[in-house]
Amino acid sequence: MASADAQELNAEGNDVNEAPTHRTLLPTELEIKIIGFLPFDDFKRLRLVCKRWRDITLLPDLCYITVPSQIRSDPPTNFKPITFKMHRAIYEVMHIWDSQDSVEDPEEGPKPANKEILGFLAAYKDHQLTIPSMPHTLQDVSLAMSVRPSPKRNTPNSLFSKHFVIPTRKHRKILYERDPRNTNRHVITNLAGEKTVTGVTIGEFFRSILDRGRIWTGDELDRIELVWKIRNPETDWWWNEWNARRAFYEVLLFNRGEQVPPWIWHTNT
Amino acid sequence: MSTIKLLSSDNAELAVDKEVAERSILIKNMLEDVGGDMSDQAIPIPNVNEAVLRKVIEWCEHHKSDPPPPADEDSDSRKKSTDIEEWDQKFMQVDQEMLFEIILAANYLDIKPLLDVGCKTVANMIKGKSPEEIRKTFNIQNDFTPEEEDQIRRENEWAEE
Repeated sequence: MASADAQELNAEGNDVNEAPTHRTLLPTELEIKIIGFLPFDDFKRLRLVCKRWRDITLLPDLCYITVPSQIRSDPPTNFKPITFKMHRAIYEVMHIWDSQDSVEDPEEGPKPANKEILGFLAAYKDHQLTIPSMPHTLQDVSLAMSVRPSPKRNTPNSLFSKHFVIPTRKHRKILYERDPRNTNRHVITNLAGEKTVTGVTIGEFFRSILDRGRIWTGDELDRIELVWKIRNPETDWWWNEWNARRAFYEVLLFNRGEQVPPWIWHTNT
Repeated sequence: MSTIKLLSSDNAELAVDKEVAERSILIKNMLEDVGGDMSDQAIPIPNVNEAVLRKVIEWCEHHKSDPPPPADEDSDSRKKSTDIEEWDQKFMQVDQEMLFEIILAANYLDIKPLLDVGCKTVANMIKGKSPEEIRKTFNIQNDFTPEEEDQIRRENEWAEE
């Protein structure tokens, strides 16, 4: 970039010697809107276009979507549904898993994670998976995934669906760096003693799948549940504010690749 | 049917049916504020020139009977299809400068359905293209250093071993 003295600026203060770009015509909020119409997997390419678009693809405005709520059981009077913003990564996992074929020979062994998924989500590895609208962090939230094994797997009926829980209540912050022993590979480690509540990040979420999921090609993602529990209904401050019946609540997000998954409330007294 | 006048940024006065003009929430609110009587005075539209204003009016006339758009702004953007109906596709077959001017005008005049059509048109111009093709389409400069570009590519290869 030339120095300020050498630049020839137009009335708007832009360098007239620079190539004209659409970004001189459209304000940021409109670029966000345009990019918002694109499928998430286009983001990987958009990040390579220019710095401005790379930054835009990382904005929470684009990455988080509000999950609409749906109440199944009778809610208590004046009960206010909680809203969460879910990272779009969740939906992409559904999309990729749904579109995978199962042509590979299962004897090749388990395929713990899909490189395609990990590849285009890498830029979002430090993003929170969920953002609750309430101020009590993610400590009461866990994510559970159910995976139906590929028909080619010789799986007993009792193990028809593999279910694993990804807790989000730990105090931790993750470090993402190159593996010193293999520079082509990255490793994620926890910072001991870090007290910042971060919940689960995209990186941790997929790392957890990598470590614990042992998903095979052809396995079918059955559902993801986002479970939000009220742990101390007698004492939690917002209980009275909501004028809600004191009970044990769970918010379940069932996701089978639908574009708009429902929130379902149910109570266990 | 009553008619109102709009004054473009380049001082062209355009007569338009009130019902058509009210596709713009900005104009609708202005008319409500003055009690609906602007028959002898042109409404200034200082950010939009005549050519663009004529295009916007053409779109509003075609869509004057459309139901109002839903107010739900915060919905899943993945369910937002980039499908555009045939008439709108033809309407948007303009040069890039005019396309961006229409988007800006729709944003200023608060015509959400037109803004959506414009943004979808641009999104469709991006969809599936390589970074280089996108740069070429919109004449965007690659402002990454080779090192920065390499780093993003490495990020994209996160899972490669």
